[in-house]
Amino acid sequence: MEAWLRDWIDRWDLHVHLLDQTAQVGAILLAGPDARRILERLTDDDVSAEALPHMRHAEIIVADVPCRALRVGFVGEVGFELHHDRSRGPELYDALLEAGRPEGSQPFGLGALDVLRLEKAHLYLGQDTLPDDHPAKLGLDWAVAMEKPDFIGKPALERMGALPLERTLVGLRIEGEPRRGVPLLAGDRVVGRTTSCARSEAARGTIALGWVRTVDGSFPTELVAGDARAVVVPTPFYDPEGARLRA
Amino acid sequence: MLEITRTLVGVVAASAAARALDGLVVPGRAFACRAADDELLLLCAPPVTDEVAREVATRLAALDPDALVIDTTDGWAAISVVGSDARGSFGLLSPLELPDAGFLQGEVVHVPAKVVAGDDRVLILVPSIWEAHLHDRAAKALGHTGPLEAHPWAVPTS
Repeated sequence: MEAWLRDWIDRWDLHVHLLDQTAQVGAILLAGPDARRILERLTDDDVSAEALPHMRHAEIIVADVPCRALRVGFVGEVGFELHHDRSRGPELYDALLEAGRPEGSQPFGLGALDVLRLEKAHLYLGQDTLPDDHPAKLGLDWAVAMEKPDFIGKPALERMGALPLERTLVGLRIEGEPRRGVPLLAGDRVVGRTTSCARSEAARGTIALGWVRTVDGSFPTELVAGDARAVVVPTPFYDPEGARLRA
Repeated sequence: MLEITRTLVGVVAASAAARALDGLVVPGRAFACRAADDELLLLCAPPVTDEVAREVATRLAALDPDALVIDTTDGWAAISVVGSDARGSFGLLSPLELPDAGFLQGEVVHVPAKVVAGDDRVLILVPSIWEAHLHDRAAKALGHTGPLEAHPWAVPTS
């Protein structure tokens, strides 16, 4: 990333300083329906939905630790990603756990994270994506402001946008146990594979993401994942309106 | 006799035009490490880190109004190897050729590092995400057992 940024700084002859602070900053995610209530116990700053809405950030003090709070929601619930000086991490972590004790808050690991983000159809780059993917193939073209006069990659997106879409990432409901990385078949023809798959209590079943290719000019919706029936469904699987995320 | 300690060191990063860094008078409480044409790391004892950062920011502002000075202490982890065989022992951690004295950078225990060499001591800094790795690899390579004691760093006097 640093090399890429430096390349553009040089190419455009920008007067810019670039300092990699990755190792200096820690991040703790406080997420869940009670996240705001717990955070409010530790800060005098306004963290209401009006003052700090979804996808915004603010400099706040949490348990006496200066933090940059990002309102993000990779797990699909209200979330505050608290970026802080690395040396203050242990005290911030302990304070958050203590403050959340009445609600029974607890640490969660990558297994839980994987299911929760899948319910929201949030992608893992590299796992759910392929090297030649672009936003339209991933159903993310809404996130690109093509009306902007210029940005890095715009000509490439315009060229690819003029081509017919032959592969796309879809949401799937699968009968039975999770099947991750298995081929997706339309009839006897392999048309794709699942990239993520898990049993979801919230979605009441086995859900998956996977990419599929067109068959005779359209994307198949009735598939077989390995040996189980799979149906293409809209995503997200959980809270499709995003009301919980933006609460 | 060889001593390995966890070293507490303040690290201030200064990013500015090369000519501004060339002309900077470094505060006496800091040790300057030129990491790149436009980047200087200033090492100091932890209690004076804020003062060093403020002083350098003031001095650099006169030379380059767009200079950037940041306390990056939390981004680094350091150990010191001290003793008559400190320089020889460094060869067990890195293929880098140590200068007689002063700063160099390159790979130590297979991660990117900044190194300050002296007569009987070597200070090694790595990005703090590599702290456990540095402690573990250095202790094993140099035959140290038990946890590393922590000591504050002091600017070399010579």
